Amino acid sequence: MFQFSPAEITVNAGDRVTIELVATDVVHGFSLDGYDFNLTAEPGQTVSKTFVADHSGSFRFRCSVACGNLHPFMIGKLQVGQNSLFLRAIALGILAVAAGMWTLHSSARKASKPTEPIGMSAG
Amino acid sequence: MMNRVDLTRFPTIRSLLRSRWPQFLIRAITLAGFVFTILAGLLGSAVGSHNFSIIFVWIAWWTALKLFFIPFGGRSWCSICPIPMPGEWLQNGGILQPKGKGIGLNLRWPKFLRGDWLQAGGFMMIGLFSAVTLTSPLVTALVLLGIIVLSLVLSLVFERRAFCNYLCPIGGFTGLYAQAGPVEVRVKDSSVCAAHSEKTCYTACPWGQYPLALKSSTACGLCMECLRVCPKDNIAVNLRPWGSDLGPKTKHRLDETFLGLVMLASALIDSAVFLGPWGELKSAAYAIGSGSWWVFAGAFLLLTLVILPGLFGLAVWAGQKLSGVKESLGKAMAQQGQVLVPLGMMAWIAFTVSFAFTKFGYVLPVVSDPLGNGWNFLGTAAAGVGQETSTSLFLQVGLLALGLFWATRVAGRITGSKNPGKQSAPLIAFSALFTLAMAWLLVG
Amino acid sequence: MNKETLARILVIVLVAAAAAIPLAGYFLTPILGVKTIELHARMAENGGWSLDTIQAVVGQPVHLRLTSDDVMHSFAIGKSDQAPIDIVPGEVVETTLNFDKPGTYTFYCTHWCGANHWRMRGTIEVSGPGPASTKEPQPLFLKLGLDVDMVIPAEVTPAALPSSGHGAQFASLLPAYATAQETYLTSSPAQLWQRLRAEPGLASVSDTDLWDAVAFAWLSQTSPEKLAAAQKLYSTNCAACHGEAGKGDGVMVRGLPVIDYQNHQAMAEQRVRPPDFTDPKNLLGTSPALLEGKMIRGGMGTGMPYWGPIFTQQQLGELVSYIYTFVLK
Repeated sequence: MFQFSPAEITVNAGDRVTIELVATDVVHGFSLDGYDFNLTAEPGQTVSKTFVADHSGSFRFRCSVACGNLHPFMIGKLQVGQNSLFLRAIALGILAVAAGMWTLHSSARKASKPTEPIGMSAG
Repeated sequence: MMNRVDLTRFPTIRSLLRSRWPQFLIRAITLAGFVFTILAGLLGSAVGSHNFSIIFVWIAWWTALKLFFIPFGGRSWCSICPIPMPGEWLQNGGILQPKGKGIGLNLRWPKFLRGDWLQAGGFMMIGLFSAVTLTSPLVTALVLLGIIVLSLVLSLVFERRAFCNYLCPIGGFTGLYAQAGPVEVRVKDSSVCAAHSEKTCYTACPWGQYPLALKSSTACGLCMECLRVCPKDNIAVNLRPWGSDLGPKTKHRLDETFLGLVMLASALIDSAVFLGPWGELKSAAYAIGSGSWWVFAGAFLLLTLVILPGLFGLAVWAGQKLSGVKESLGKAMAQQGQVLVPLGMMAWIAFTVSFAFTKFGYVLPVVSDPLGNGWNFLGTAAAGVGQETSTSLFLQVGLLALGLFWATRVAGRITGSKNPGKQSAPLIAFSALFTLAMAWLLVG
Repeated sequence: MNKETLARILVIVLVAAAAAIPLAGYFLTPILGVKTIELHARMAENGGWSLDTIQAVVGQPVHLRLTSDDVMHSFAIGKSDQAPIDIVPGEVVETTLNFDKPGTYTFYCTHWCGANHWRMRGTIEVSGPGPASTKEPQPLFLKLGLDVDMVIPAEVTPAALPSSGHGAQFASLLPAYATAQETYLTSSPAQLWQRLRAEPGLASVSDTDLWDAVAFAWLSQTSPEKLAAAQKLYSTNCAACHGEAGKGDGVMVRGLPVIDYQNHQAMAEQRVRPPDFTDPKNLLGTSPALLEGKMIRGGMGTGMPYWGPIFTQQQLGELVSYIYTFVLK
């Protein structure tokens, strides 16, 4: 079915998390981005492992055993504490818009500044 | 021009471009690679991760296209693409250079089929069926085979590179994003062209362009034929600043805007389907022909044809209302579609980073065992599962922010009204909304 | 030679070389090597094994190239010591089989690959001189003429799950037949309890304690090592449907309704979950011979596979004992 259930998990930073992997159709795996954590489960054989969620952010977990066509896209999300990267992305976006407008504004001003008259005397 | 560097000023580069051999050799290799990829897909393992065709088309080549060819070379892939070659060789009556005695009807492409519409539609089709295409070596092989056969057939009926110009889904967005790319082919001195009546360059151009009057890099495939045949050595290959074809004075059409919107919608949908945690969405996208797939297709088309164009049109209209500019909405949408170029290009680069870095570990193993046959040419070990590192995530955020910054600047520059701030504000808001959605899908 | 000809030759050579590699791989690999058979493993829904039958001759090695076209599979041979060979999707694993006795062997998969996993089977027909593999004795359920489709709820049940450890203290009180293998094989635990209840020597033992004694008698037929071996077989082959704790709630059957013995109509019309082995009513009325028969022949109008060609007599015996431990502790 290429789906993790639940597909989105939220925990607090620092929590001890135990994953109980139950394979419901074929052999599946569980590999967590950003953590050294890997599990494999066969249908009928639940496996369990614990880790400490000491990095905060949003981490994808993926199936690590080839389980069919959509295997590379069998993905879920683990949210540990705050997703500071996403918040920073929003801030960076606001900054980007501001910077875009400001650099445009200043180059427009530069273009319309009158040039200094050149003094010249002859005689 | 102050901000152009003519590469043909450097003798080595000039002779490499003028000689037909370097480009021909590269093309012969890409053609051989294309044939190899089709056969690997047809004959090799059905498991995508262990088949050369899937890994090389959708990971290796796609990454090279999005991360290097387009941002650093504009439409540079087209200069070495093997797809038009067999047809062009027949048209030209020769492989190394045109002999003039080719076969083909050489008909003109029908007027009503011109523009980017078909290419946008083609890219939409790929998106609709992408869940299967990207995971099935057989389907990928058949798509590639179909494309090269189609290109060949079209070359025998129509003049020049009909497939590349009007049908190739890749060519559509490569051309569009080439407007922001840092490479262009232009004449050095237009007065030389004015004095030259024969216009050899136009006859030689397989893209049907007038090099002497080339203003936009969209339809120039960097094939260098004009450079080779110009008797006055009047063609330059310039390095230029990014975004040079975008501005208040350049001409743009509504079909470009439509293609730009299709690209944005596809970036959102592909990110959701392939990177999101929604298994039902993925299964729906995969089960082609089933009820759930029709729902998926409906939502896909709704977003691509109605919602996104609607929001964009609303932004353009709001800008006009806020600034009091009087202009037809269609014309304004065509002109302001330029904003979608840097926005879409950076979004696609970011999306490519999100999956390419994790899957790149499959490339060496699949070179070692292209068919999943148990071979081991290079002795490279089996691939691990790969994961997104924090570097990859930061990079994606940075790329999206850069796209928004760039889009903001383009929006401000192109409106050309007395009140660029007021007119471009809704458009900037649209860009920001899109960027927020992409950021949430990729790193949220 | 002029440049055009050179260019044409280059294109032809490069394209031919590029085409030759996959074509060679596809057509030549099966031919090379001594009697190499390419076998693709696929889920039953995708066609199962690419070959239903493999022919072999006694004394001649059979070289197999195994690959999977979809999910994790493995190649195992029933009633043999051959360890299962993992088949990873997209990768090729090679193995050589040797047979010294003629006969029919069943090959199967040991990694659950969907609900129809157990249907992934094929046969190896080994011909040649020599006596056939020693014929196994006829299964008890056939000898006794038991109807494998029978469901016999226990006539009497304990209040709680009996404990064999507690029952050990009554060992000296038990008559000889209580711990005899023949009794064990042909009686259900409930039947043994009823026979013991009628024994005057055990009149002072309470009903509950008598159940503990039955549990002790039952488990004296096996050993911790045998139970451990059986537990491995159970978790690989049975737990996906029967549940890791024997409750009949395994992952493969979660979409099915629970058995309702009162509603025969419903049971006839659709698949139901396996019975809950931890419920005393279910197993305690079934004799080992009947249980073994169900395992050997399967069917019974349910999705229960037939394990006859896969498990040896000894493995079946050990599994039967293990299954009783869901209800007799």
